[in-house]
Amino acid sequence: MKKLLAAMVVGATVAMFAGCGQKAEETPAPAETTAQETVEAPSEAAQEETKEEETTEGMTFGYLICNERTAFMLDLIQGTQDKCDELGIKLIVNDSDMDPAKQISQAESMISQQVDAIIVTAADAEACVPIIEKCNAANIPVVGVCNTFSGDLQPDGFVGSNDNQSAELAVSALCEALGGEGKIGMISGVAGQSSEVIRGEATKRLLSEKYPDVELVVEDTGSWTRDGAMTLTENWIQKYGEEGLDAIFCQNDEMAIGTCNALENAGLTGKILVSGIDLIPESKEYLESGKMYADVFQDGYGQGFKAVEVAFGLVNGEDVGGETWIPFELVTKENMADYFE
Amino acid sequence: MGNGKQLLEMKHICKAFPGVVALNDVSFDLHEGEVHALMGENGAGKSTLMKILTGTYKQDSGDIVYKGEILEKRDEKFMLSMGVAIIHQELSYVPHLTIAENLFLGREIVHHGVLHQKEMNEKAAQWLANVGVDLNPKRLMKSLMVSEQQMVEIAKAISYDANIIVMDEPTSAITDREVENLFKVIADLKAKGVGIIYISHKMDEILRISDRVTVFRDGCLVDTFQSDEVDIDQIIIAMVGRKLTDVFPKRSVEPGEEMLRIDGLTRKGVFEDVSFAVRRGEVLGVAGLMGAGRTEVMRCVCGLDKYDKGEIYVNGKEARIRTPKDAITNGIGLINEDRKGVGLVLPLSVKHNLTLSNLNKYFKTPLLVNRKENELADKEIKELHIKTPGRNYPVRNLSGGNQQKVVLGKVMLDESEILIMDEPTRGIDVGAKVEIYQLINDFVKNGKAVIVISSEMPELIGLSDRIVIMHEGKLVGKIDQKQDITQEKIMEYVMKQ
Amino acid sequence: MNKNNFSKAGAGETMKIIFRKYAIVFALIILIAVLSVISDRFFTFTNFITILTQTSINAILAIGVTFVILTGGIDLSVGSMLAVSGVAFAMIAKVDANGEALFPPALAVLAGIFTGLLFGLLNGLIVAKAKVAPFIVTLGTMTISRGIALIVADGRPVSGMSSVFKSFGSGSIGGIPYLVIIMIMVSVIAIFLLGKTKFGRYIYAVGGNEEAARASGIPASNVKMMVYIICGFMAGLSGIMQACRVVVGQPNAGEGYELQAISAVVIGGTALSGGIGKMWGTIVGAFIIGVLGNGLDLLGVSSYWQKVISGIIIIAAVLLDRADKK
Repeated sequence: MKKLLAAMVVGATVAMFAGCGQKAEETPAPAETTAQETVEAPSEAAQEETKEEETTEGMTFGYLICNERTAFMLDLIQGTQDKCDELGIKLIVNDSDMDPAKQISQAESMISQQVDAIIVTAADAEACVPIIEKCNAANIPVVGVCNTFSGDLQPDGFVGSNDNQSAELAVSALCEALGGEGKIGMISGVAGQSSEVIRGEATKRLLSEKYPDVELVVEDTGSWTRDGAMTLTENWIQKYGEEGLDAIFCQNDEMAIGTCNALENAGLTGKILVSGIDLIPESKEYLESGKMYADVFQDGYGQGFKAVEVAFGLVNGEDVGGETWIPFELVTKENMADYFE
Repeated sequence: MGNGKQLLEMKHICKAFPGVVALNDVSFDLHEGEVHALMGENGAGKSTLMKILTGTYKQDSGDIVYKGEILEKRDEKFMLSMGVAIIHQELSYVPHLTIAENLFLGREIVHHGVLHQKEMNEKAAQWLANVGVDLNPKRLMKSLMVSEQQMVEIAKAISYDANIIVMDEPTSAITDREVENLFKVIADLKAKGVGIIYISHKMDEILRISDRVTVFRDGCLVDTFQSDEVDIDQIIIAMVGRKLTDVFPKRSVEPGEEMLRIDGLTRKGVFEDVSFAVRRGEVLGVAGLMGAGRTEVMRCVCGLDKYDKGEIYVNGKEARIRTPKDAITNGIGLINEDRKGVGLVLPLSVKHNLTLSNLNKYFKTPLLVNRKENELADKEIKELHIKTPGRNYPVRNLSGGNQQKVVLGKVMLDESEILIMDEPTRGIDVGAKVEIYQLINDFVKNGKAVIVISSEMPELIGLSDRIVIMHEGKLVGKIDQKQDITQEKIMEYVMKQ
Repeated sequence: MNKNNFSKAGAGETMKIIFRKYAIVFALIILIAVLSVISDRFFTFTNFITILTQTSINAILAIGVTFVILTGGIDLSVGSMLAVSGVAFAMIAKVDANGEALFPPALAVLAGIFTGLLFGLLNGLIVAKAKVAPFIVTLGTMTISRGIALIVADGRPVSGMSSVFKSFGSGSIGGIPYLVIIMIMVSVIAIFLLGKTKFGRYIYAVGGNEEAARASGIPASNVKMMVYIICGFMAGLSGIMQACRVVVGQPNAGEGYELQAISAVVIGGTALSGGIGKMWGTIVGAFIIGVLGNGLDLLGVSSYWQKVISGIIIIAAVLLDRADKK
């Protein structure tokens, strides 16, 4: 069923972008209204520019996104799209709905469409390695973004943030606030996905190395969703009460907000601290009011933006390969003003 | 006469279901080349005994001795392999498969792992011919008439080359000509030394073909008679424990005004230009062979199918009948030949079935009042002597006769003025049959009009005041005087065509 | 089969029948008893309120699905309808920059309900009038409504709803959360509708034998259409409830909810073939799932094992039910 759904979404997306691409030169406006609600004036301006600049005329990039169902992924697409618009490159986005097999076949069809470069947010670190092989064979530059590949064969360029760092930032913020001593719980994402695995492992490593007196008393999956984390937190409140748990680390912001809501309903706001990762727009209110103690900003937009830059450089034969790191940043009530304008 | 050696002996069989003792110390035997008939009202225990024989149920106590050996562990497949086949009263077939595929179900002929369709079709045609049926084995089972399906079922049972064949009401749905074919087949089987257990409610049939008759009542074996030494009255007394004087009770009702008139009714490809009328206080019989189009006409009159041409008049006014609801509002009630397919909602209780078509009549608001509904149901259960542990009992678990009474009760509660009864006594025992005949008489006495379709000639003749005869989708004759109605005359109309 | 034979069912037999009829109620009681013994945190008022709140959404979805399954149909689209209704609701429930509601709250609720009804009507029309198998129809509308939810919300959660709804989602009256009150009301109405009205009877009849129902003058296709509309209504209602609870309209909400709802129906003893089942069974079924999830969380059983256990419960419930019918 999921596959059917994904097929529809991908179909719709491809149709839209394809449609946009064809019309882009005469009527740039539909591209914004149909596909990208938030694309604003700058990109239009960028397109104006590209009309004059003829060097990138007809260049097409493909972006293989693992799924476009979270705000973060949409930021990635947004960054990619904006940079492409700026450079006058046509961008095709395919969504694999977390299915590596599908992502590989999407890569194949992009290769047969002879795109100039492929940017990929891998649906799976190992299973998606064939995408690199196929791009290499077709002599198409490939740039990984956000999600890493495992093994020796790496893409020509990689742009991302070190996921270990994100969990470390979010968890140490909690540990520091607890004075290096206390009980915390962790709500993870969908089991087995690389970010879930890395964030979970990083958390445990950090606790054993730096905060031996902070105990991870419970962990379970909230499936990245708000209602999943909310239900879990409600049940934990019943089990541990105020005394049994000092803080909860959620592996993304959707779940952190669900947790904050559950705590607020139980009157435990501020008594059990919450931290999350992603810094989605809604988190502003939660940080401001103290419901959420800390958040970690992963610059999805920046990653996407940078990835196009790298890919464009590779196409033009520049030496921009290797890894480019976009750092994570810890956001609390104190510095939040810098992130929400 | 079953003079062969003993083939089967069932000794002191007992079987109880939760709340019901189905068989109480029953002993029964069968000889080679014998036709042993079982009689008894529905629920008397015949079918349970046969289900124990064929391995569907296990007896609580008692032994089954077959060819001199006691059979211990048994199931249906094992018994079939031992040479015990059954023709079920309730047809069991896969509707979307062909006749041949149904006949070979579970024993397909395979060449190198591939089905050998041709050979199976040829063999199937042979088997069908053996029972005197001319059907293309490639036809889908669902496309056949009920009678044809029944004949396929018979052909199937015989094809197993069984030593014992149980025939549970084999003639309840087939035509007279097919009955004759079946009897020929039975004679052949007897000559080969096959033992046949024959369950039927039809007295004349039983006395004609059986060697011995065993009568059941309330789970007990009442008596076993030699068929050539017994008469119908003795059997009936044994069955119901009392004497049934008049099978077709007399009545003297002067027919009143015309209640239903069908004028030039046509459904393309099924029947055409059918016209007849029925008056208040009379029973109109519709005669004809299976497939003559009688059922199809009635389905249109009751709104189950749509007609292409013609008019239906109720009480002199033209009635547009497009849905069953239209028919019910016009006071037309149908007792369908297909009790389980169209008449009843099997998982629902007796009460819910009884009131299903008349909720709008008794409850003016969308709400149902439990007490009132209980009263309605209890009234019909009592009036029609429906044997059920309670009004909330699922109708699925009742015997055929009692299920049919529920269908009748439903129409009674509808207060239908015009009753159309298609095979109203199919698969029902004598006692229940007489009750239903009595009910039909009550209907006409109360000024209702009744149309009866029946394949049992004596029933049709006994019940009807007038008869119309259909053949191949057309009305081919009518007999207006009660005293003129004879089997010969009806057959004459049919045969002339 | 005379009267004596029937009345032989003694007191022990009667107890047996009662036990069988209410087997899942006993199962729920046993479950609660066991959990109370092995977890000291389980048997508390606040925890029961927690369970009630958590179950309310699935219970309402399952109630809708019960109507459909009783007619012999199925509705796979409830989870997606919940999402699209929640998104529609959240978009109208938005506040502007000054925190003022853009539209009256009632309009937002209507938008959510109307969206559910619309998709329910679509299901109903295609199933009842065009006579396409319900599995296929609702599989189609499942992906259609999910797609529309994503398109309308642009893939992102629709946030910023008026505080009225937030307090509805998490507030309570006399200690009983509003969501639970809604669930109780819906349950009572559904039990009444199914058991005490003509329409309810028609649902059983159509599911038990559509042809016989039609021959009895029941407008079978209208009944079928109606159950899908009811199911859509329930999905719309639970979409609003879910959105109020998590204070956002999530286009990816309710994934897998259809299966959880169907599980509740099946555990509750309703036959997927139609015609047999009870509304209260579904509600108890939903609570078995809810209590189990809560209890296992309290016991610290990982969600991986929880999946295994819920699967076993579903199969066990069906086996129990079948044993009952034999």
